[in-house]
Amino acid sequence: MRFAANIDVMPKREISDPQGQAVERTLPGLGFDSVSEVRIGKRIEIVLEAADQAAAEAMAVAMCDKMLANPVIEDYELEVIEVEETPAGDPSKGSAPHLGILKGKEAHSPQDQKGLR
Amino acid sequence: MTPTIGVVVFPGSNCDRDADYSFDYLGAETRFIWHLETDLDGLDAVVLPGGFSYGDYLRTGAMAAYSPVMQSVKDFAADGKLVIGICNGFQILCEAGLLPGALRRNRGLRFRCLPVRIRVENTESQFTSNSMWPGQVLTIPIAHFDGNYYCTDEDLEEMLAGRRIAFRYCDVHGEPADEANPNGSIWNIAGIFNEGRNVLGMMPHPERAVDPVVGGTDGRLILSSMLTSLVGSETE
Repeated sequence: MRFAANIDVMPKREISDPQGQAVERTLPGLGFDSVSEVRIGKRIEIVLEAADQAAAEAMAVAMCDKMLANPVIEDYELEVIEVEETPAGDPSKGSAPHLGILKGKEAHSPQDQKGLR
Repeated sequence: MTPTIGVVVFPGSNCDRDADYSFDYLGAETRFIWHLETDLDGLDAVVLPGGFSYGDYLRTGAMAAYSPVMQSVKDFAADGKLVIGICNGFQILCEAGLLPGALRRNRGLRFRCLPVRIRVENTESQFTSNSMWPGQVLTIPIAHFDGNYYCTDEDLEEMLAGRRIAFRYCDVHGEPADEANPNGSIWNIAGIFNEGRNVLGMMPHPERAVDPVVGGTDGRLILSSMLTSLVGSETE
C-alpha cells in the first residue's frame, strides 16, 4: 500500500526561535500589530510503501526519530494518509498525493501525546 | 613516529584543505578520507572539518552524521582514539550522538566571521595539554551561521561534573561575558569533550590560526597538543 506522510517539524516550545522572533518584530511594521508567538518550522512530505497503516506510521515515526527531527531542539507532528498507487512506469501520475488524490481523509497523529500543542 | 591524521571530506566540506595544510605544517602525515570510505586503519586521529556538508540540508550535520564514514568514526572514537570536529564537524558530532546537544542558528541570525577569544577550561585532555593552563585565553577565528550551542540542563550539569567543557567564549580578561558570546551559546560554550575526552567538538577554527601568514598562531596549541600526545603515547 502507498501512503503519504506529512511531517511538521517545529522548534521546541521551551527553546527560543530567533527566526520566529525576527518575523514577529517585522510584522507590526506592515500594519499587523496584533501578532504574537510567531514560530517557524518546516514541513516534510514523503510518499512511502508499507503493508498497512500501522506499518506506515511506524516507519514515519522511525524516520523522524532517527533523522528528520532532532529531539534535542525539535518536536514533530505527523499524519499518514493512504494514497492511490502510482501507475507503473508513469511517475508523473500520483507524484503529489498531498495535492488531492487522497483515498481516505482520516489523518492520524501518533505524536499527539508528546508532540506539539 | 610521525602521527597520521585523517581529514574526512564530505560533499560540501571546505576547510578540509586548511586542516590538511595545518597538520602538515606542524609535521604530521595527513590523508584525506572521502565520506564513502570506511577504512580508518593506520590513522592516529580523525578531523571532521568545517564547511557545509550536504549543503546543510535538513539541519547542519544531519545528513553527514549518517554517511558511511561516520560509523567508522564512531568505532574509532569508541577505541579511545582522537577525533576533532571543527565548526561543521562539531555539528556533525552532535548529530551523530558522539557529543550531547545541538548547534542552532546564531542569536541575531547573522553569519559571524571574526576572530574571537576563548578560554581554555580544562587542560587535562590530549587536545589542550600542550603549553596551556586553565583560564588561558586564545584568539581563534569563527565563521558560522549555526554555532549557537544548546543542550539540556541535565547534559550541561553532567558535562560540568565531568569537566567536559573545553572552551568558553570570553572577553580580553578571560571573563565569559555575554558581550563576548558571538552566537548565543548557553554558558558561552565554544567547545566540548565527550566523556573520555578523546572527542572534541568546537566552533572556532584552530586550523585557521596555525600559519602566521593568515594571522594568529593560537590554533597551534590545540593541534600540536594532539600531535604531542600521539607521539608521547607511542613512546610509552
